[in-house]
Amino acid sequence: MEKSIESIWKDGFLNNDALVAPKLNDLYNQKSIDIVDKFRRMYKINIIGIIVFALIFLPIAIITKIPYMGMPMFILFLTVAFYGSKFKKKLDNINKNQNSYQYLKTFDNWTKEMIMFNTKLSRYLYPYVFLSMVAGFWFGSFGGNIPGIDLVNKLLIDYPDMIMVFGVPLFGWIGVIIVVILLSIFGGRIGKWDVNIGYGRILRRLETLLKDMEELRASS
Amino acid sequence: MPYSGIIIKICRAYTNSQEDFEDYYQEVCLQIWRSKDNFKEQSEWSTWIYRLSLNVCLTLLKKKRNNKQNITSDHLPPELGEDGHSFSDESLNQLYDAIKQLSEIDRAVILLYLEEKTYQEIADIIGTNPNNIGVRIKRIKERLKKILN
Repeated sequence: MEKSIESIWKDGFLNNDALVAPKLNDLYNQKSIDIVDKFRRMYKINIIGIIVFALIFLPIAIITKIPYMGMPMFILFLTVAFYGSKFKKKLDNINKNQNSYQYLKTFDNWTKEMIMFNTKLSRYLYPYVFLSMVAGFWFGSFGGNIPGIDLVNKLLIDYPDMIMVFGVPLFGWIGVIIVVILLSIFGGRIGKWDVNIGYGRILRRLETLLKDMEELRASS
Repeated sequence: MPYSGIIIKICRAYTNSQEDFEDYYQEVCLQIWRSKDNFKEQSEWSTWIYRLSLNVCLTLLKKKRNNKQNITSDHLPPELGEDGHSFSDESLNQLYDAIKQLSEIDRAVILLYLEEKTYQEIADIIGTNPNNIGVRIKRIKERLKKILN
């Protein structure tokens, strides 16, 4: 009796030999290239984004009369972009002629170096951002008045005995100093968290891939 | 690799040589690895593998065809039988040879049907209306029977 196509299909695949997967010689190589290329693209977009944001932020800060915030932030963004570009150059120079494991390992070292630098930088970066914001709003100009001086005048009416240091209430200084200290303590962690938001998924993938390759190398 | 059977069955239907089969298989594995984070649990994992495997094979086939057209503008012979005998079961080889004579979408439909996917699942995977899947399968089966006979 003639077999139906359904039974040809079913019977054909009952034999396990029919489903032997081919060897994937080049898969790890392609995966390595894929990870590094994806990271490189993201990193490049990130740097360009920072530069564009800096160029937009400065005129907006000047127009909205918060130049004391705009200028330091502009300098900060450009500095971050500068160091980012330096790291990008290092990334571009990773030797592609190595085997895929070495290539990934070099990339992994690069990411570790980049994260370490970013963590260190973040300890200064976040306090700096906070101080720029405080300066921006304190010395800004809203409706012709300087908000910092307005605030001090209002406080002096309610608390005439308030201790002042360089024209600023002492508790204001203390508050700012506490926030700056906290930000410099936790800045590293915030920096790592920031990197994790942007690149966490790809870095986890890198870790898994390296683990896989190390297991393969150990078993071969 | 889990679900490698699905990938093998699909890649075999879209390739005519062992070399191409291995390339397609590798590309599907790579795409699964690349896209696994995008998998949303709205569908079954196997359904997602079917969809992705078919997409990759169709894209590679299109690329291959474009490359060939760039090399020569002559009429190309139908892609058949360089290495049609990939399985030890001769009937299965013949069925695959017949499937390869179908259009790319019909190949996908019949593969999914043979894998016992429901009409709704087939429609979801190939992105069409489930209403005409039944008629289409009937037509494809008739065509396959004709080719096999």
